[in-house]
Amino acid sequence: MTEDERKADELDRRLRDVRQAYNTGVGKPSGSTGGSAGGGGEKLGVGMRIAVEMVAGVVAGAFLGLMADRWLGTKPWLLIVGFILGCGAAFLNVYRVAQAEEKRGKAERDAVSKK
Amino acid sequence: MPVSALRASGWGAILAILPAAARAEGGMPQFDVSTFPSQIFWLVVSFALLYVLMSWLVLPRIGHTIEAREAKIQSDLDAAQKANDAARVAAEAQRKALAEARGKASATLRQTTDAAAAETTASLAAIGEKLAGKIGEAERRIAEQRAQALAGLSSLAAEIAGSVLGKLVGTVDGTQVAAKVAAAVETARKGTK
Amino acid sequence: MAGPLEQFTIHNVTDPLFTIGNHPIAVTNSAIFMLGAVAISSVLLLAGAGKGAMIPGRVQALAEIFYEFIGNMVRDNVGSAGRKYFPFIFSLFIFTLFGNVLGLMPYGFTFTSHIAVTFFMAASIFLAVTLIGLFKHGLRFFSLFFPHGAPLFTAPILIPIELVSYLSRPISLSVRLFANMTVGHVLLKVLAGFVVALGIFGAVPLAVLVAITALELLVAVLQAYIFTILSCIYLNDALHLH
Repeated sequence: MTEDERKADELDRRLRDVRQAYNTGVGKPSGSTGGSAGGGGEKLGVGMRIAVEMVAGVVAGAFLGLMADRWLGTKPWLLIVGFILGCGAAFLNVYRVAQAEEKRGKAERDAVSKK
Repeated sequence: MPVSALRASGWGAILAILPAAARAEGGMPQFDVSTFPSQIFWLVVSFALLYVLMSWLVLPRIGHTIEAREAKIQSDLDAAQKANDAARVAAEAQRKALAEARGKASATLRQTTDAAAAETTASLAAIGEKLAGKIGEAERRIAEQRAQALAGLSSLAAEIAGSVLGKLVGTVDGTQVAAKVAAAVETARKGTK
Repeated sequence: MAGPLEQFTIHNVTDPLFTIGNHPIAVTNSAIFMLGAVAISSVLLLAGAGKGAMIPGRVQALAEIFYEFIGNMVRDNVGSAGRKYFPFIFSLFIFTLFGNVLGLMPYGFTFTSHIAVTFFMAASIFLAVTLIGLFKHGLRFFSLFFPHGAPLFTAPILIPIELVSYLSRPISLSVRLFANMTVGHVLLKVLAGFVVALGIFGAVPLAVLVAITALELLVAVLQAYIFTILSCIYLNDALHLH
């Protein structure tokens, strides 16, 4: 193989690498993975999310119950119903957050083990 | 129920549930309802301003720049690819031309050698022929001369023999002597041969 | 020394300019920081967008990183249907991010530590997203409240729970941002109080204060990110009804 051909092959290889990196977005500035914050902060964020979801569900349920009570004059029954539904919703929300986190963690582990 | 009333009573409900403890200690400024209209007003104003600036001025420009860069990078990559392919084709063509030239050269060389060899052979043959002709002629000449010499020799011998006989026996029939001498010479030649 | 909640007080900087339905509107410290966040981010991003050089400088690179970051977020979480809403999501992120971070500056005021602001933002997004979903899908939008494949008899329980869960979104969205910002600032203020009170022995809390400040910066960025990405996710739910 001549020197020129080797050079051409080398350039080919580099072009292919660049193109691949470019198309898969390896070389691009990207934050799509959401890994912008460090691991500790992210864990903190997840903990905070779960805590807030629990509160928010209950608050939403209780608030709806309260409003309905005011409107219909059925104090305090709908508040109680709303509170219970709110608890259910809170559990659902927390479950969803945890599930999403689980999925994301798994995807991240897969991505790491692939590399 | 009007939205504002819903919202107001909504605030009331949130206030009732969330920060009871905080309010007991002098109150969190966040739950001072009197500041809410002003906060929301300024929020709407400033966010609208930001949105207008972003969507009219900033984002189209950045998007344009990024797209232009992507196009440039892609076209540069394509150009590099094309140039490399062209270089490869050229190298291939060059190699082919080189091989062809080499083949042609060796063919020419062989042809020339063959022609030269043929010429040499031909000229050698011509020379040989000429020589053979010369040799043949020379041989013929030699044979002629020898024959002449021999013929001369037999007539000389007959003369000599006739004169010898004439001296010995007187007159002799010349033709008879000549025939006999010729026969003798012939036999002698045969014997020497 | 002022209490740890003092920093959240909103006070008028000018006399009321006008009134909206009996509510006097004056320029407040909160308003100054909102407009300041808009001004700083706009100047920065306009400077970054202005030249449009092929090889970006620092400011341009920063602007492009923001652009690509939110662009990827919208594309990954909403898909191509989200392109229309990209400017809004981008503005939302920039507004929250600069609001959060500006509040950490000395003498800063964090307008995102006010429930009125975060809840108004969250409720507007929630309302808009719900309307988008209703317009796009009509009554089919309500299939959002019943999980696929669940047995029908669970509907009377599941639908109210899903409904409450859905309605809790603006609350969780706003309370998360508000609580994070408030808690962080209270913590910093209390620690700063320790540093001052302990005098020479304040070095230890000072070190902790520096560490917490760094953490708060992280939280400020992270919360802006979470607020924005959750808005994207809600938008995606409305557009695609999972």
